[in-house]
Amino acid sequence: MVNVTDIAAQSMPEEEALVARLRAGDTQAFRQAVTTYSPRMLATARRIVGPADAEDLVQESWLAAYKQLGGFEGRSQLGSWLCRIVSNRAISALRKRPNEQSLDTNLHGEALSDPSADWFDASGHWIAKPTLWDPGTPEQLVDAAELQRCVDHHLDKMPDNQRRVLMLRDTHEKSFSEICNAMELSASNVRVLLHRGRLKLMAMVNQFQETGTC
Amino acid sequence: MLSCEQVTDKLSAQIDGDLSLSERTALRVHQFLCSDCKAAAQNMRSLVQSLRDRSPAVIAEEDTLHNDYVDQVMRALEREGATSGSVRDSVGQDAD
Ligand SMILES: [Zn+2]
Repeated sequence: MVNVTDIAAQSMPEEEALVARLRAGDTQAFRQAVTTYSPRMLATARRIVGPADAEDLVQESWLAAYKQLGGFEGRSQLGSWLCRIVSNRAISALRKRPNEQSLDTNLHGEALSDPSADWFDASGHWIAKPTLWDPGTPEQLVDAAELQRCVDHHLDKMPDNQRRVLMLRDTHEKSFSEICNAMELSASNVRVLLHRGRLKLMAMVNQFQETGTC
Repeated sequence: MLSCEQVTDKLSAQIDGDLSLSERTALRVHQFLCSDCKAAAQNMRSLVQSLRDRSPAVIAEEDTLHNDYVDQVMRALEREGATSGSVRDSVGQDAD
């Protein structure tokens, strides 16, 4: 298996050199890029459109990336840029799909169960008081490799709809209207799925902080 | 005053900027006075920011590249004219 924490750490000059070679149409550079970045792109695609369509979507994304290479300004990392292309194509793919809501998540089941239901007593006070996470900055959270792995496990366990909403909104910063449109869900359903998904991840980080386990 | 549970229910709306002025004020006041809810709000903010632009880790078997995938993408790129060199040394599926 490819260890992403390693390949994510491509140094900037190395990446710039790679981009320059891609722009020049260097076959070996493309082969290297496709080998290096496809796993992450597949992981992104799979979590939005599902495993059956992920490979095709990533292949299309490579073609799109090739055409847009001129617009890559190096302000973000190449990997993030490629994953953004994947998420843009993924949201269009969802929009074109027939509504699968009935086959998919029971909107009234697990996805909507409230993770915070047992956080409070009858009068709405905290039972287990939250403490500020340590490390608490977003950067430190991202750098905690074990924690990030745990985030991915929990994302994978979520109902499809909930994971999609979280990925599209929080990872790829899509607007609520885009998400509602693509998923054929009402704004209030999208917001509830998102809120409860975030609470699930909060509970996960809380547990990780307390026990060090996922 | 809002209960801690009511404040928690509105945390996402607060982060997403979906609250009315009066709701926003009520939440701020509570979070100023209640260190637990203040911590919860800060934690959720950190979480949401840490998800931004995040490259997912490759943990599932489906995300690993199967043998022909790179070749397949390379052939597609070549058809698009992305690469100048020959990439068809691997499999000659579309050799013409
Ligand atoms: Zn409180």
